[in-house]
Amino acid sequence: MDACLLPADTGPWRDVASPVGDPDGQLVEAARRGDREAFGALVERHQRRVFNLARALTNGCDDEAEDLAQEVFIRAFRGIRRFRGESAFTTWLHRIVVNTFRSRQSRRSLWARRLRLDGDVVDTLDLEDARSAGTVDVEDQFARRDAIDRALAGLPPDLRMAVTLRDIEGLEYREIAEVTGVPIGTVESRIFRGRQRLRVALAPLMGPKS
Amino acid sequence: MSCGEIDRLIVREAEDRLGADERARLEAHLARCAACRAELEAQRAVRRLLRSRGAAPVPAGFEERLRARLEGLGGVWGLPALAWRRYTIGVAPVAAALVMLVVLSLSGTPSGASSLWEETTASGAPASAIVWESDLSDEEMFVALLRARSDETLQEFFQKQGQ
Repeated sequence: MDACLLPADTGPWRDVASPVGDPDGQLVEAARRGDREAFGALVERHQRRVFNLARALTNGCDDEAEDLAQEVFIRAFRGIRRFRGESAFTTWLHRIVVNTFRSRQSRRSLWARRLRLDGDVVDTLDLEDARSAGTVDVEDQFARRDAIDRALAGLPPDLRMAVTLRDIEGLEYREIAEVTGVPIGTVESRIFRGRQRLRVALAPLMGPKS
Repeated sequence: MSCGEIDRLIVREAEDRLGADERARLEAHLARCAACRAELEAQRAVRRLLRSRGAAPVPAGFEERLRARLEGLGGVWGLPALAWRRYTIGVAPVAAALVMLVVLSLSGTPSGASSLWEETTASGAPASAIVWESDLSDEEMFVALLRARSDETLQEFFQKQGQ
């Protein structure tokens, strides 16, 4: 397994945060002892969070989002024995999402660089500008969500991750800095630039004033 | 204060995270900069929209498919998944020795002891140094790798073998 995809706080259990402070503490402790039902309960509790985060990161595509979400839970399953509890379980899970997403992006970029079109090497298939939301029925919740996810897909990965973790997942800046491994100032900068780019792509959804 | 320095204050103000001093500095800048006023409103609008996204339902069967994949991790060649690492740590050195044996056989390494071998054993080099002694015979290397402990020297190892 790719050990580098596990967050740094994996190691001997220290009983620091769980089970009292962390609402997932008791389930995590049982899962660490090999209780698969406990891990299943953790999946049930967090699957919607992880799936939606994955969906916002992967162009609103359900298939790709499920693939990413499942990979996250598989890595969590394999690594939970080494989770030390120094952070909340959700923080640890968010880190796995970040690391797994980055890993997939790296593989995708590497593959893209090997593609040759008419003899030219393509550096990246990522779009530089957020894709426009186009014509959207703003009253339709599903259509609006799809349009938002498409717009997010057009952001560079780091900006997309920061904006998604803040405005969709609702994480605090300190936690975003922790799970992405960058200073809070960098998080703020990425969120600012990400929202700036989204302003254009999401204009059809925001009304005439924007 | 330049517009570039205002960006972080705008991000914080868009989320009502500014302290009193920072808000005063921002308001003084906004009073004379229409572009930044517009940017602040845009940041707020984008954030409001993103927060209205709502959660997509998890696809039907997600848990079942995940469970099937997790159960498929039950082991490699029947070994429990969590024990796999322990087995690979134990098996890897022997596998490496076998590979080296094949390579040396194909390269025609001469048999018999050498002066380099004698120097190595006399120097007290650890048993793990065996793998780097290319003048060893195939048999000597294979036996040494299988029997040697990482914490004993070559001298100790061969003394045990009665050599």
